[in-house]
Amino acid sequence: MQIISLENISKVYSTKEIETLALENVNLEVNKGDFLSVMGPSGCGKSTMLNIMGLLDIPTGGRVNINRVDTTNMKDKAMAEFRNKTLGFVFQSFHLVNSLNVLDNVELPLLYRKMSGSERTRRAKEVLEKVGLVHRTKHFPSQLSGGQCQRVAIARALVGNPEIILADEPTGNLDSKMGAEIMDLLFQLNNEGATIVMVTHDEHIAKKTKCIVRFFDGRRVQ
Amino acid sequence: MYKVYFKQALHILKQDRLISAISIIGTALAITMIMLVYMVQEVKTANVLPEIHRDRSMYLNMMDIKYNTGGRWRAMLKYEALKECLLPLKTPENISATVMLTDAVVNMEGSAERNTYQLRQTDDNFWKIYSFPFTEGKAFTKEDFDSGIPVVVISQKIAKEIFKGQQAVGKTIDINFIPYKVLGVVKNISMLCRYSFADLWIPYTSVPSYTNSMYNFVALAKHKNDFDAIKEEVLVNQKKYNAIDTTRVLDLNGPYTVSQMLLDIYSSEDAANEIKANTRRNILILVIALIIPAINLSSFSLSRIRKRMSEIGVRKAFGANKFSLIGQVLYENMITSLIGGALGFILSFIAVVSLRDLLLSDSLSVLQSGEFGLSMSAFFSLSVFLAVFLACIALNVLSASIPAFRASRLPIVNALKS
Repeated sequence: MQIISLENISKVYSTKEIETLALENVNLEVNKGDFLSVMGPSGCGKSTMLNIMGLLDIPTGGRVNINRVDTTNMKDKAMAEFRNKTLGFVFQSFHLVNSLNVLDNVELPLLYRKMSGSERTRRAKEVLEKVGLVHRTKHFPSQLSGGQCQRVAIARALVGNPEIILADEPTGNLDSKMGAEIMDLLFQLNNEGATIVMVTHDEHIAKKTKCIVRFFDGRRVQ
Repeated sequence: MYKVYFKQALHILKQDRLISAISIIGTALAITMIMLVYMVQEVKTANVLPEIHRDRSMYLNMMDIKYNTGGRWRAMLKYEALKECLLPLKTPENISATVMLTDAVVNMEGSAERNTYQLRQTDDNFWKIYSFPFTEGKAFTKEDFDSGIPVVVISQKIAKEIFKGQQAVGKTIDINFIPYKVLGVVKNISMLCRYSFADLWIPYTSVPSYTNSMYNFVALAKHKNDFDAIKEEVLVNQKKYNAIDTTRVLDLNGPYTVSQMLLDIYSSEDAANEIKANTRRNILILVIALIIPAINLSSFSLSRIRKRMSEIGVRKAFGANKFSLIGQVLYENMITSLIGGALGFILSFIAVVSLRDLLLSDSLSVLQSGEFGLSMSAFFSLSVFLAVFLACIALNVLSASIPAFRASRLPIVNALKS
């Protein structure tokens, strides 16, 4: 069953002097339960595509359907709510909030839902257990290793129980051992039913996923 | 949600100590300034001991006389006008008349040591309208007043200086070379209580020439809503008085509320405009006092927000909308403002204690000597607390709204990249 559909997506970055075409008529479908790797050289538009897919950026042209919902004309508030319930993000540089401890970082997506504090904490601890960091709830990001930070980021992506996880080079800032641990975690989540779209440079990792798409100069080439 | 924001705000304050300290001190100084402006205004019009009914009181001390021959003059309230138009008033709960404050030479009976003190000649109702804290004895009664017997109530200051700590009640002092028996001793009164302050209080009937004196009049209304009715009754009495002698027209144009008296408004046409102008002046001072620190604090908030761009991106990615981000920034700033507000409150307390005389020196319309003696409780009332809280909110909204608005409009991808 199709869960994400990009139709004729294009993205142009304009300045006074120059227009840069980042994506050109990209079409892509992702089915529920897929683990899709997006590959391509730097600057080919894969992260731009992921941002558009995650409703973090607006395409210049085309249509993004998620869960059969056309997101084209969504207002800010509706889009924020949609992101909160449907999508989870894992970033290369973790993007944890340094002034919040591990538990509060993981709880962050739930702050924007109508939910009691105790329920938020219960669910955050549950996902921290899953990523093996329940003993670090009171630690701050500066007190964790890179791998642990990415685990916290994954826990944050999971806590809202989204159907789709979008990961932008989740192992890019980690050594190979930690990278492998994170990938094991993502594979486990995929096996449990999560749909994952991951941008990666690593051919070896991509080959382990169910499907690979390749980008070049803003176009999908495979 | 707000518990998490609170924890985060405190963590950020601790992390960036220099910026936090500057923000808090900046807020504190602004609040101190606002507090001082507010308190100096408030203390002149609020109900403070012994003038505990200022909000229900009306005052009059001037009158206009227009002669048919063309002459017109303004004078202090004379006894005849007082007696005919004001003392017969029925609408107020109580009324009192007081001769203008004068200097009096005072010495202990038989002593050559003489000092000058401020004397208020008044009536027995004076003690009912104002609430004087007596330390010894009592006030003079209606019988004392009607009989014109020379009795006096003195302040603690006189009791200390003349009687050197011994009991004063029952003893005699010479006031302007006439012996007066001391009936009571009251605590020292602030000079800011311009209608009740004095060092000595005697019945004006004890001075033979009292019908030639100039008076202050006060009417205590049963309720604030009675002010117009009191004025109406004064007008009726004034008409009757003017009908007796048609060669002149008396115009009392009053009485006035404490705020009007403070502005020296002596005609009803001027009153509304003067009050509006004064309100505008005060608002302008407050706005300037708020805007200058708000601009500075806003730049601090903005620099803090810049450091937290990535967090804003993350929050938006995970479901924060514009309003929740604005709410968070305002809430976090409110914590800084409240800490600054609390510090400002303490600073203004210290400023009032140490600079009280300087701050209130322009408020004196009475003689330029004596102590202010106003208790600290007169300054720190519920309304002052409320003023500080409102100032905190205003400062917070002014200083955080621009950073909050900018943060809320930031594209997610740009925020995440920064």
